[in-house]
Amino acid sequence: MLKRRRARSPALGLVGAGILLALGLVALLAPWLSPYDPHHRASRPFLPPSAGHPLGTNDIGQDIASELIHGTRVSLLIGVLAAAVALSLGTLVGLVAGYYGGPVDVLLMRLVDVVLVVPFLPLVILLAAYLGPGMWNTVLVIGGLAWARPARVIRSQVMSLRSRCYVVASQAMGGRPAHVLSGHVLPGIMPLALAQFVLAASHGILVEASLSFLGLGDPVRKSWGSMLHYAQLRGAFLTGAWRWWVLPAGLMITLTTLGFTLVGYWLEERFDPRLRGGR
Amino acid sequence: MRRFLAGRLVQYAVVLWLALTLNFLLPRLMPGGPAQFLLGDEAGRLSPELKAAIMSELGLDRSLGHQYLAFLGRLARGDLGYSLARGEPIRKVVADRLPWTVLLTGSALVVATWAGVALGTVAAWRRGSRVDVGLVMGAMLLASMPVFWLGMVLVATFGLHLGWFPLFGLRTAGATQTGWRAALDVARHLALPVLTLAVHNLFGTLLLMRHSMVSVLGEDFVLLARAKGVPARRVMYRHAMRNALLPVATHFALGLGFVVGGATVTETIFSLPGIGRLMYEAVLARDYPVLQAAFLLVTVTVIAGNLLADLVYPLLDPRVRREARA
Amino acid sequence: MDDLLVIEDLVVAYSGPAGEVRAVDGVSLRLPRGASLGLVGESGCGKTTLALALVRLLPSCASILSGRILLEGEDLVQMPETAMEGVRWRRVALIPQAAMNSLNPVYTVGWQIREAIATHERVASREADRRAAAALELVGLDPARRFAYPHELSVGMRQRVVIAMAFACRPPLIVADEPGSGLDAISRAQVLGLMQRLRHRLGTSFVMISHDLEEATALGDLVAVMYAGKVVEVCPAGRFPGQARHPYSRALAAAHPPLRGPRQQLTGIPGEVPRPGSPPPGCRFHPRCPEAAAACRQVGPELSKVAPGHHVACHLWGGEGL
Repeated sequence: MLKRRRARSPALGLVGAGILLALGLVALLAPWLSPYDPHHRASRPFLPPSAGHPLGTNDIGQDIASELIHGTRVSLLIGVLAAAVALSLGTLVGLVAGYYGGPVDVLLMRLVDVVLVVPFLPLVILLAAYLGPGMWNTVLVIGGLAWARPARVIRSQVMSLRSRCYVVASQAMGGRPAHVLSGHVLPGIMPLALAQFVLAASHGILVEASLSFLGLGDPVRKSWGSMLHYAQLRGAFLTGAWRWWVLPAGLMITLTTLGFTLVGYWLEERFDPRLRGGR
Repeated sequence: MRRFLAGRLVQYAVVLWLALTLNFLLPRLMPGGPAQFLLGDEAGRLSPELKAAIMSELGLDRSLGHQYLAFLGRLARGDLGYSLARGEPIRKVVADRLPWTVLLTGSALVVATWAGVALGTVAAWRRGSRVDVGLVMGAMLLASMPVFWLGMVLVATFGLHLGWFPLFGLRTAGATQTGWRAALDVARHLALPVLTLAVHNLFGTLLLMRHSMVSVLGEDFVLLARAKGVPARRVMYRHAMRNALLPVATHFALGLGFVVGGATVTETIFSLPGIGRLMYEAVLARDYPVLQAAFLLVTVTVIAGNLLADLVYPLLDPRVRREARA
Repeated sequence: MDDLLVIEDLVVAYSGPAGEVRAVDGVSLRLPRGASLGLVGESGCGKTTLALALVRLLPSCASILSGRILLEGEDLVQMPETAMEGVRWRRVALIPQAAMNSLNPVYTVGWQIREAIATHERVASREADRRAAAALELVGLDPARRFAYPHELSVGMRQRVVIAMAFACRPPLIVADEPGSGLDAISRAQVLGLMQRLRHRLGTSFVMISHDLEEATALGDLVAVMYAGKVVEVCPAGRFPGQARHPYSRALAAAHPPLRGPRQQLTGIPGEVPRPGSPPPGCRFHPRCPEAAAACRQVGPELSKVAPGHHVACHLWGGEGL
């Protein structure tokens, strides 16, 4: 009688999906969309926006608009790859912990607790500083530390699936754990894993931006974060240049993160049994 | 409850030990070895003999186990090492900067929690309305912004264009005021960084408070309190909020743990002499010992925050409190 | 005539995605001062909605569409909210469903009783505390229990705390929504006995809501039977269920085993309560009624007198139809 209607609608999820689709297209078509090669000097440095350079040029005369368009590729790629690493680890840990239970579960969940307590960004900075700049290092560092949350969510879903009839039946008929897990449990956690993946990607993109901003990003591949790193080094936000040098890159990061977050929350709300129906 | 706390203590000990061991191993696993670690880019320019002499001086030619014990011993005495890049003991560097970071992030945490509780309560009270959707979406948008970019935009807008606040630093250049005038000068400098951090952290508290409040408002005791004739406002504050604040209090205590490490990029933007800015400078200068010390300090405070959360909760919730006494 | 509570043609509706749903649909009841009323019916027939409407604490999606609720001659439906806050607990107290779970977990029991007193009366805190202790004694609890938190008490004790709280301001009317449900048989008997004793000692009127006939008639001078948002029968408690006339009342009685007396075959009621959004035309009970006639499918019966103080809404007993 007192059941509340759901406040959030799928419309916001669709907005998020639209944002991501548009960004994906920009990333795919980057070489055709951008007017210049972002790695070459196109004009004099520190030019304000003009017809030839819609967002002006940076401190060494590269076209900022082209940097921005190519940056979509790098930022998206790193965010998605880091999320993939985090989710693979998280799913593995969550599956094993949730399926076997007992001491294995206790041990793995203690590990999750430990990882969740470690200060995330400082450790990422420390590791990235030691490993040196590079795209794969960034991906591994972020992914290698961000798996704990998805692991916990997936574990609880596995625990609830484990007691369902078809899984119990499959075990009773002598199905090997690997078979039961991949055939019966994995399909059940896929939607939830997808939601966690999307949320991890939104987090990954923000962390990558922070790392690159601190000068720990890949020096060869320009992401939005590394654009802002140079803008900050040259004090662009203390001159009028912030409007075309600082503003667009940050807006792109915000838009991307927001797109992933919207889609992630929407998926989570749809597929997470704990958020469905009840309070 | 005792068992719970004991379990937590073990967990924190493990975290601390892992952080220490990581700090010990990282320099020794580096391609350039610990000399590179200690001397930074200078290492390449030294003659092999000089290098060996330094290594022996620092005990780096001894066995790993021996080095590990020595490493732990130094830390136990509060010796964080020496920064060649700065020519100072790291303990002094850290001690100089810690107060500013605590001032900055502590203020931001208080502001963010206060605003998050107020706005989350409003959103819950009017859940499903436009106000609710607007607040949640707005906070989500703000949380999607990279904090360093948010800081740059705020500086450009309120500092550069409007001229309301200074652009960077902690004191006006050449300022000689003392007493409360100096404090006012510092406050003006800290306004934008605090705002930046608070805005960024608002989303978590707001969402938590909203969620907590919505579920508390559905509880039977809210109906009974209304049935007693208690005015709506008092039901809201004395009954609903008192219960809904429990998870927020935990969140706040956990947030205290991030007081030291939570402001790396914000301090960088605003050129504030805190621990975060120290980490940034250490990254640029490849000053690894400083980076490690900062990481260790951050880990210790995060653990302290967690411990505080564990200890504070029973004080606020009588259900847990009595168990603790039993 | 000195009526404590008069409900006139009350309509309460929930607005949902499927439109308006009338959970209480034209209910009229009359309760003389000092008398008690048992309200029975299956789950989902609008009993709880009626109880919440009486103190104007309906959820935000529900509202009173029409009708009057006269408490000591004053219409509660038209009353401003601030004045209503003064009415609640002092003039009509509600013991809500699952009352034992409706104590605030972070305050002591005594604090919560004191709050009820201090909301309505200007009393010194020492006096409020003394009265909280007295209220606990009234329900047979050790006054020292006022320093306890709800989770430290048993379910039955918590239920008695809420009853103590309900009597704290000595209201002339207490509405109790299923006060015995969720309790084990012994605590339930204790709670019902307690309410009986207190009613006789203090002369409080009760509206006792229950799906359990025994509970509903425990205090009752009157019994009202509700079905699908309407009152189908009102009679003196002594005539219920023995001389109940409505087929639904008799079906309810047949579905309950009597505690004393010879064994008899229990019969369930076929079918289920119609969904409030789409009640059947005519008499709402006709799809499940073994005696339904043609008129029952078309015209809804009105309450009509069959004996002094006994009214039934059924074509089989009324003047019209048939």
